[in-house]
Amino acid sequence: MTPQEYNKAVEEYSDRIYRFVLKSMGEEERSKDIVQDCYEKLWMNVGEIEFSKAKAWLFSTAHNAMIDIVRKEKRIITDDTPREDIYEQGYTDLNEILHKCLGNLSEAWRSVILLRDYEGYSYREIGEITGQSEAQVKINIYRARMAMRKMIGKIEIVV
Amino acid sequence: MIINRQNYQIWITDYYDGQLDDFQTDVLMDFLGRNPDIMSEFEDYAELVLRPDDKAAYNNAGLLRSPEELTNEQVEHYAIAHSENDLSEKQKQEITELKKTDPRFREYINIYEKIRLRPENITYPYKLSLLKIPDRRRHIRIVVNSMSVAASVAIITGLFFIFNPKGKEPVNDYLAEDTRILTESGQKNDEKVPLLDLTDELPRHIAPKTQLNITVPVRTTEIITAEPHDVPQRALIQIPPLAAKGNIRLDKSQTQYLLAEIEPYQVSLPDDILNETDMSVREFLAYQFRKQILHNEDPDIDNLKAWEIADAGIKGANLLLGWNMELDAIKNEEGRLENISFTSELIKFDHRLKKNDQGL
Repeated sequence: MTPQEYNKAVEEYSDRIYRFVLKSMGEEERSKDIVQDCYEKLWMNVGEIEFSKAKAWLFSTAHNAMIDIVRKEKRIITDDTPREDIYEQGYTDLNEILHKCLGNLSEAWRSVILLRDYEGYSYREIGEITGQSEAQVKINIYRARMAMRKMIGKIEIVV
Repeated sequence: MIINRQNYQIWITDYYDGQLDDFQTDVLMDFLGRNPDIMSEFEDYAELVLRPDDKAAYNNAGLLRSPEELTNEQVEHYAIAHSENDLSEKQKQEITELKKTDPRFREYINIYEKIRLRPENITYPYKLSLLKIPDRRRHIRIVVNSMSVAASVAIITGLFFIFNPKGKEPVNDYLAEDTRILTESGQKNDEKVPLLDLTDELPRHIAPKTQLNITVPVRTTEIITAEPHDVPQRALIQIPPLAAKGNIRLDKSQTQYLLAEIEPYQVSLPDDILNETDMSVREFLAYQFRKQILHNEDPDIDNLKAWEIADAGIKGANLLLGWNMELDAIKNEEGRLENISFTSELIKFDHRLKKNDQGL
């Protein structure tokens, strides 16, 4: 990758990486630091990484950084029970409700859903980014979708 | 692979499995023609192939299921597969048919098609700081940075001479002839005390009318300045010897005199600063630096930061060279420095600070 291509990677992907990390972590300052670190690493390896693979490389690096933090802090959230407070907080827009539900998913499920819905990645690509097998990605996506459906609870809101 | 007597069995097996193309079949037949002993083996092999027994049949009527027997979870699974586009064309057609007859398919497919996140409009605010500047621009940036540092040094040096107008001359030359130095016991002490003469440098509207009589404790020695009539229109300010290290504190009077040096027409400090019993040289410099050079409306006395000195340098370069550079520091709601951006006609960059960069 040339320096020009690196700058192009900044222009094209930094928002996406930031959005992915922010939505996965939910912490603005830390998300900004992770994005900055990812691009510092990309620049350090600029000669070795092809531009065509930069996006996946950045997502993968960001995902690994998040996993490190989660492991370090031992944050485990796995909760798919319906959340009445979603409605009590006055969310009416389905996308808002879905994002609220997303925050209640485990990190592993959240990442695959974000990569699938936001970036449109295939199971294989998500597997490469997250280090899971294609089958595992598919299972996680299915389970995450079911969990989100259960969290929404009131089907009439969606239908 | 060339057929020979060692590997002909593989060729025969492949032949009966339908794995050989026309050319390979011809090669095999040619080989068998030349080896009649193997031809019989080839013919016997045909007898060894198992064929399904058509007579064996299982009554599978009990295994057949209708779509109505699918559990909700299974239907849900199909609905997710449908929304994820994991189904083959044939399966899709089948599900489409089921949607017509089974309301559960309609409902769940409808739900899962909607349970998809739409990306929110989120942008990374420090994109500029990630961009790398091409070499030519980097050289310009280095030059500008060097100039900023040089300007900063010039300003600091200037400040030093403002506060030490006779800095190069030995301070002992300014001892008043009849200065009396008393020890705590009241006895006379011939020890010379360094005095700083500010008479000539004091603001004109103050010096002639002011008769100073300042007492400053130096270790255990009390120093009394000369009587006004003995030194007409002269005032001596004595300062304690400055230690190389440590936090030297100025009392209110000293602070006011230092202030008078750099701001003749406003010889008072703001109330909040003035009410302090004393302030350190560092605090005084930081306060005046912010007020006089950076033109902060509400300067504080915290430690000067590197970026503030750089900002002063940039302002100095602007004045000297007529440039239009600008350094902005953006703080968050908690007052933590978040971002430093530099703009000029030639280059522009952002530097986002991490939490551990606060020394800047």
